[in-house]
Amino acid sequence: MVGTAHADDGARRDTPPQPAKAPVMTKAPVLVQAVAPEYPKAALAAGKTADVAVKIHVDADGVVTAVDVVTPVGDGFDEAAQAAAMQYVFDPAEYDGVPGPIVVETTIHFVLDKVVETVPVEPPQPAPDDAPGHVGDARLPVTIRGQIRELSTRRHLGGVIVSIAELGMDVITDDDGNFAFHGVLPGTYKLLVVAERYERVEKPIVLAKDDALDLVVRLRPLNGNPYETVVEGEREVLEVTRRKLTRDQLTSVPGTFGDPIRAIQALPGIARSPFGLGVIIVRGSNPDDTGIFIDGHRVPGIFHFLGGPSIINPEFLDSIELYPGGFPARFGRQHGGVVAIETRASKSDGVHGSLAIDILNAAGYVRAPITKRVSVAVAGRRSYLDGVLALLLPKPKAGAQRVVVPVYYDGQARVDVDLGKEGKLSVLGLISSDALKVVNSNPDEQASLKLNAAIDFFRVIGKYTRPLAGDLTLTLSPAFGRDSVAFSGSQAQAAGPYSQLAVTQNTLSYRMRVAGRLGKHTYLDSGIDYESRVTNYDVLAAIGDDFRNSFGADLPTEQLNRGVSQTALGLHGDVAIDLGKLRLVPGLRVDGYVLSGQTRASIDPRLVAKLALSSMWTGKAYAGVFHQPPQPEAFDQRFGNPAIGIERGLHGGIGAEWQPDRMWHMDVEAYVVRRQNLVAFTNDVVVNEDGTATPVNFRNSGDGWTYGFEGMIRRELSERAYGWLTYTFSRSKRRLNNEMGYALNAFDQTHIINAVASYKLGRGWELGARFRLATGLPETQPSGATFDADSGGYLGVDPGFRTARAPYFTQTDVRAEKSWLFDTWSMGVYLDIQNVFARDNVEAIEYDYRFRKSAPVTSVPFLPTLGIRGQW
Amino acid sequence: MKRLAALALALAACGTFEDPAIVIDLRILATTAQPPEQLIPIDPNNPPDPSTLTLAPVELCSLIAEPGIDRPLEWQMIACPPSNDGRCQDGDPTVIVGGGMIEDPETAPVPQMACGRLEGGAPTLLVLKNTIENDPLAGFDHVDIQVSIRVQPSGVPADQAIWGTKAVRYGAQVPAERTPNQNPTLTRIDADVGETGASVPLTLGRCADQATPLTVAPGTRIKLLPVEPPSAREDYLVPTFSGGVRMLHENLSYQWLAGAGSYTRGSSGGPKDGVGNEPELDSTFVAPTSDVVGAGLDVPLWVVQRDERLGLAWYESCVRVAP
Repeated sequence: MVGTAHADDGARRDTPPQPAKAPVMTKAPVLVQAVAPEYPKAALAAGKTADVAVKIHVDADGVVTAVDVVTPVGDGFDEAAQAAAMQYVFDPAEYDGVPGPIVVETTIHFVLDKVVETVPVEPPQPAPDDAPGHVGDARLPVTIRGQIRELSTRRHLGGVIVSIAELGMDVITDDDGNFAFHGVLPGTYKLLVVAERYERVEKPIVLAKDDALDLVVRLRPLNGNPYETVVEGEREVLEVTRRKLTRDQLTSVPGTFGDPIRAIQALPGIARSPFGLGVIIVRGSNPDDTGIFIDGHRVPGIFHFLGGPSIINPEFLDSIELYPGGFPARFGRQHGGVVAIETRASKSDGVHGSLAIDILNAAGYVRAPITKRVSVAVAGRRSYLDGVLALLLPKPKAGAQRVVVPVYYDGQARVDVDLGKEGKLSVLGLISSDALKVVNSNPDEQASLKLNAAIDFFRVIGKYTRPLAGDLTLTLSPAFGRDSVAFSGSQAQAAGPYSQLAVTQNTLSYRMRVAGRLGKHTYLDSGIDYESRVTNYDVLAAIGDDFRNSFGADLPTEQLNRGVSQTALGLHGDVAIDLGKLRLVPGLRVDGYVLSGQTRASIDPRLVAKLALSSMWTGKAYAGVFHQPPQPEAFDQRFGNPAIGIERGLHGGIGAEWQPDRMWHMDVEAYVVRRQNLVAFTNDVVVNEDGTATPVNFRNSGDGWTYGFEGMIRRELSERAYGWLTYTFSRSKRRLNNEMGYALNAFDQTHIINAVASYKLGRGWELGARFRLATGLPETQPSGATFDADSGGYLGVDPGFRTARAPYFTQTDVRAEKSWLFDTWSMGVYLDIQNVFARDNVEAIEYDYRFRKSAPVTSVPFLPTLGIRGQW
Repeated sequence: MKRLAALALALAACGTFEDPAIVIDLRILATTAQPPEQLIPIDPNNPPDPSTLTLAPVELCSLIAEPGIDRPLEWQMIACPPSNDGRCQDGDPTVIVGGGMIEDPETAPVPQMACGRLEGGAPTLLVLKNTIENDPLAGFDHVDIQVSIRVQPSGVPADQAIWGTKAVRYGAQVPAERTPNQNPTLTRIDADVGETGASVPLTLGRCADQATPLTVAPGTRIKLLPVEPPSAREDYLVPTFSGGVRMLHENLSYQWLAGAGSYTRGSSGGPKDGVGNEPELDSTFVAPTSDVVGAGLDVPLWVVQRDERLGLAWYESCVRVAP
């Protein structure tokens, strides 16, 4: 048997309360989204049916705020009906032309259809009636068939309810969007198509005698935004705090130029990155303390230079997860936070793509099926800052030469192979490049310069996933990549560089993961995390590290080649144990390191607890140990300290989540992070018995504290609006050694407020705004100065290191977008204005030569960006 | 990346500050130490107690300027262990180097200098010992002690004092053939008025001491080139951490200062820049414009010559700007 359920369409609606001079209802509410309830398993097995009358409370936005069962019928039907009705969405009622709340009464029917053995009938060949997408007497031929597609993207839509109202026949489309009605008699009918987040379609159809209809129905996304959401299944929760953004939700956050990854900078716990840096500062920690992972493998950065866009095309993103602390054991070797990005599978029902152009860069994306089981996606982006600058900069004098070429590009490619029962295979390739070239020469002056700087990296990431016994899934993922940073400087007319730095880092990593449910109350996530990094330094520079006071000495340049290696093997495991309302997640991570031949080890026990306090409230707490190896240069034999150890962080936190309904979510958390054994630079030398000296360079002498509170109220994406409000209180202090006092971290910001809101006006229009407020960055503010006769400059006299602050930062960004949907493609034009009120935000304070006068260094006051994007 | 960001920030900066090359009020312009460095014969494998050493006295003199105001100035010099801000810290051992009053530096009948003497006795040895004990390199090669200089107009509150600092170096005579640094010298400064290619030696001395200084029209460009004697740039040895020695060649740099007008570069000389350009030694002084000069103006010029080993010398001249 199969169970189906549906709600009465056109149910009786309660009239609103009638006060004196009561407003007149000028428009009845319309059900625009119905969700089929889940048939209670026990009732289904027992062959029970039921009709559940419910009262649905609908607010002025058309959102269901409560569902009352009028007469309980038991057997789980009441709860199933309530759960389904809570997901309904209405076009709200209107009173005197103004939307208002209403209570709607309807009945949800739970009925059983008998399974009928299919009988081959020639022709046509009917499908079994339990085949997905089919309805009616399977012995009879299909007389109406069709496919549901999304308007403009042509995406085939599964899970859509298609019904013939006159016959009471409902069918849900299969994964490919197909549906079929068997044995419908000739006549005139009304075809009703209902899908979540799409406009409802009512289509008159005429079926002639001895005829069959083949239909294609295109559904328009609600409010016409083609960049709408993909409903995602939730995975097991192993962490206390995970803030997840999906690609489709966040291409419209103001101030991000449609870049979802930039939107994480508006989440709680993330401090404001100074203008042009484009770093992620989690809970006041240093940017290096936060790991960035793409498909489980570490990458060196996520943004192009000067705070440019992220290195991944938004179409390639599946999800972005931010773990500000207490993250699962599968993430290691970081004691700050984790940003985990998952890329999107290339599986496609046809050739789809997008093209986006704005004043800074152009990007394209295409995905296509190669065979039934193989699909591919590619994307690329290139900036044209170089061309823009060429137009803006004044032309050099005759005979002089000036070239300024900042340029960045990135590319992604992914191949997916569906191996059926044997699992899934994918290979992802990423490349990112940022380059700056400056040439400046003037025959009137003897000095000239030519500078080249480049930051590049690529990754190739393989991934094979297959089911194991029971509910377990095995994932094997090797990866290889290279990061390079190169700089060279010379006179413009020189044949070769005078100074040069080239750092390359080859990373080979391998991850094995076994995850899944071990039993009804136990979930396992375990694996192996191997990473080998070899870093090479090629340096051409004047190096004076072997004697005292090299400053000012005229040293010849010398070529230097250095190499350091780091190998790490980690074993990790988290086990989620459900104990009634309590979920405990003990975790353990063990890492062994070989740092340029020196062995190290770390053990990271972690514990997470979540307690369901009520249907709306969840309490949570965590504690754990997190280790992080030093940067490669810190354990170099010459410039570092081979005896350097692993940094350690202790995380603890407690908080609560409140979710009154599916649209609203609140999350608060207080946290503390104790950092120890931090690597700190030192000028110290060890004087040996023979009179020689050995520079120490680095020590694990630093430590620090971070504590704070963060909260977030979020309204989930609905047909018209989304938004969130966050507040973060944070204090982060460090010291280089225990003889010093604690000083504020460079990026410490006491108060951070972010507010994001976006609203779809209809007819393809969407308006949004983002407001940010943050305490100014710490400053060392001199109170006087001393003339240094030996340098000719002045030394600042300050009352304390980083004891002052720059003024508060506030910025409001706005965005307007208009989308047009066509049958097979769509187009959007947007205007994104950063700092719409042109506020002069102070990024730093500069001083005159003797620290008597100061002036603010402000960020760009007003930055409008016009962009256009098409999608098919 | 961060340098690029800093560049962007610098472009966004909108501050307009005084030109450090133009002296408009009370400033210490230079301080010499004679000798700038002392080398002490010691056995590095068996270093002596610093308090048992014998040090020679050091003469310290400061060049002070205060254009526009005619008044006497009080000064004081105190030696102490080095600090980040160049001033002596409470609790540190100190030695009084000198103090007193000078007449107005520009108008006094004779040149005015604030000069003191750092004796080599026990108080200085105590400062040296403290410095070595707190040195992160444990006294390897050498240590510097600082002389803090305070200058204030006579009769004004103490918070209007200005401060300066000068380091005095004490090193180990390792290797034995190592010689102490000497203050640099200069043969002359050539002045090319109008940048015609023809130069004349610039007459040295204060405006008050020159009856007929070099006279130019407002806005005139004068290219100034320091001419060094052949021996001005010394070769010197430094011990390396690994027990060896390294031979280095001195750089000389020049800081250009004036009472009005401007310079095309506030400093010249020094080591090569980061892309290999040889440093220019000259700087062009641009005389003040007519609206500044009025009926005529004697503009003091100062050149401060430095090596990278605390050696220092200064030269003073004058340009008369007449419409």
